[in-house]
Amino acid sequence: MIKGAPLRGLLPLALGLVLWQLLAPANSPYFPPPSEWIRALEALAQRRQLWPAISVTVMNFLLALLLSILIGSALGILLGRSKLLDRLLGPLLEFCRTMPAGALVPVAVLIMGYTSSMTLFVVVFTSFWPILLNARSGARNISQDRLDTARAFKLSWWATQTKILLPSVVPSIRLGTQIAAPITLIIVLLVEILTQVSGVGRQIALAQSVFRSSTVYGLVALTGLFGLAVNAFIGWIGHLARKYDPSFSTSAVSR
Amino acid sequence: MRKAMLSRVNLPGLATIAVAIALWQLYASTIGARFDSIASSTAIFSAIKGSFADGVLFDQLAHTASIALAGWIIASALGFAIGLLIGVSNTVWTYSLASLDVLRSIPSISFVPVAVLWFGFSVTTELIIVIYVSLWPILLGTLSSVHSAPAGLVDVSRVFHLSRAATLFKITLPAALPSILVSLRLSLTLAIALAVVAEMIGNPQGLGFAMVSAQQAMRPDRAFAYLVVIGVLGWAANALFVAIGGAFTRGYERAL
Repeated sequence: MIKGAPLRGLLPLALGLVLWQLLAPANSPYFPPPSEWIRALEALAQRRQLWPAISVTVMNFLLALLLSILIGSALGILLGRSKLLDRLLGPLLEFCRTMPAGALVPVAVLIMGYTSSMTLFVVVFTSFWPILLNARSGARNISQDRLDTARAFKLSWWATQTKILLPSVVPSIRLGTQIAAPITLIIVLLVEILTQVSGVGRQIALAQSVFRSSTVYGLVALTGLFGLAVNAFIGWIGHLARKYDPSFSTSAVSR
Repeated sequence: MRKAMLSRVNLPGLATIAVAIALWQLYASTIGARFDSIASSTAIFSAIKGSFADGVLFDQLAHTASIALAGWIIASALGFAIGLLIGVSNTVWTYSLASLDVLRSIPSISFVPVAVLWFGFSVTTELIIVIYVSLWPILLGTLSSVHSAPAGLVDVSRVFHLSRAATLFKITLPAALPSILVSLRLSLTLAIALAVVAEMIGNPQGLGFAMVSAQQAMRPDRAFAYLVVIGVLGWAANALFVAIGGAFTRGYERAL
């Protein structure tokens, strides 16, 4: 989102962490120094709780993002191509879109219990909207020339969908995915913290409930690394897009 | 005027919502009746009506809405001020942006347990969470739009020999207004969402806590009722903001 941030800008953060390390006592209940975070994470790893939690969270994230891409693009293309469907479903979707993820959790737990499918349901339901919106506007604004080309070549309905429509909408889906990825990570952690089913979020909530503050800080820093990885992934998608598609535009439909 | 308003109402769309409610009723009273976890549409509506009648729901709604609003206003002022400072000054921009970039990568939800660690189960926790989460969009929106004012407009200010303050108030800020409004709306949605989450984890009050209690008491009618109420709250706040924000930026497309 912000381009051209010079590395010098990391100075305040580094300075803050160093000061924190130097000034905070090792057993500080509220602000344990960074060295204690690492020690706490090592302890968690020795109890064989760290890596399983990480793999669950990463799997949840990847699976939810994949489902969001599939469902979001399918629904989006459908709504973008059919004015009638768009008008019929518009208000209902608009209402569902503004539903906060946290509020969905208790109802989802009632119906599906504390399960991983409940986690996936809540995450996909709340984070696939940017993909849907972008796919919809991409499918709606597909150039008439391309559709005419399909007609001129007498392409079948199926061939038109796969050879003309889908490739034209891919850039929009890509943009939607770039917006949806960080949201997906946040909601995965949210559900894990709220329900304590599994994953890194569960470990954070558990550590907080027994006041292991250095574990909490360590895990929060770990989620920061996840966030950085997601941002790098987004940047990489954008890089690919600019490399292979010169007409790539960066104007996304966000919320 | 009234006719124009009426034609803007999407009747088929509203009919779909009515059909969905009816279908849910049908499902809940046939197949869904076997499950304790499903409440029919009528049961949900009577739960909403019941809790409104005894005043409980109104108090909870007022609590959640007022914390979300207060947190959002504080975050807006704070985020705008910091964003402006960073966006206007090149030095501050150079020596802080990368740090901000790293900090904003931490999923904001991770801050919730930290806030509970600091302030225990209290209103302060809830307010701090709301402020922290809704601060980011405004801060980033303000700093990036202020920093990258359209080159043509900047040239205009140079041609007219405007002072730095005049450039800021007459050129930069008006040009940044639309994208600042977008981030304000985004963070309003976040403020409500996180107030609810904070009530579930960090402050046993308001709609979020009531909803978790309903779930733990196996009262699906109440849990669904709160879901509808929270949904309407989020939707109404969004719609209200779009209406007000639209009035501020009328004619902007032509000007820019």
